Amino acid sequence: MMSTPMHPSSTLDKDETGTSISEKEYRGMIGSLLYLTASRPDIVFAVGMCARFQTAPTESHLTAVKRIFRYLVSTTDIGIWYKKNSHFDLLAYCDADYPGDKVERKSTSGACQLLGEALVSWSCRKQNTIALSTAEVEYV
Amino acid sequence: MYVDDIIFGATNEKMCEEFSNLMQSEFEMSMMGELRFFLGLQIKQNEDGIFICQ
Repeated sequence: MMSTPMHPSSTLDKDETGTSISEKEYRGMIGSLLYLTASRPDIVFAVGMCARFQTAPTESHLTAVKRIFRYLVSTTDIGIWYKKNSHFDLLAYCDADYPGDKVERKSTSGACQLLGEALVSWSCRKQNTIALSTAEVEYV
Repeated sequence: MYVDDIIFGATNEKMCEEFSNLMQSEFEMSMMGELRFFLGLQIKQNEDGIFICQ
């Protein structure tokens, strides 16, 4: 049983010395997980992270993907809930990691928007540029 | 012209019905009734709200 979709401290890298696995199968798993993110914002970051290694995936990347699957097995009842007669105030959150990814030195931004209690949109994207400070990383 | 799927909703059920009738009189289409399943997403609608999962 996994309580989180991703290991809290260890990060994924290219793992060029690792044992390579089937690219086709790995892409298939990522594809299914990406479709699932339509109703599961909790796995967006983890899936996006694993999706970065679709060219030349290795055992270590597969292990990370399997952890997401194990997390999903224990959290099958999660979804998006739109409550009736909820208020309609727009509320948005955003944040970014710094320093982010070890390979490209690029950070990842995450955001979500709520109308009342209803989550209507969410995103998790690797930033296009390399932020040089904790201030820059938040507003690029 | 061919259009694949359409889903629609309204806070007033009467408006939903009105739109459905209008669409069916204008286009050759079939009404599938209350939304329960769409593009692999399961939609549960009840008195308290709407729950979407897969």
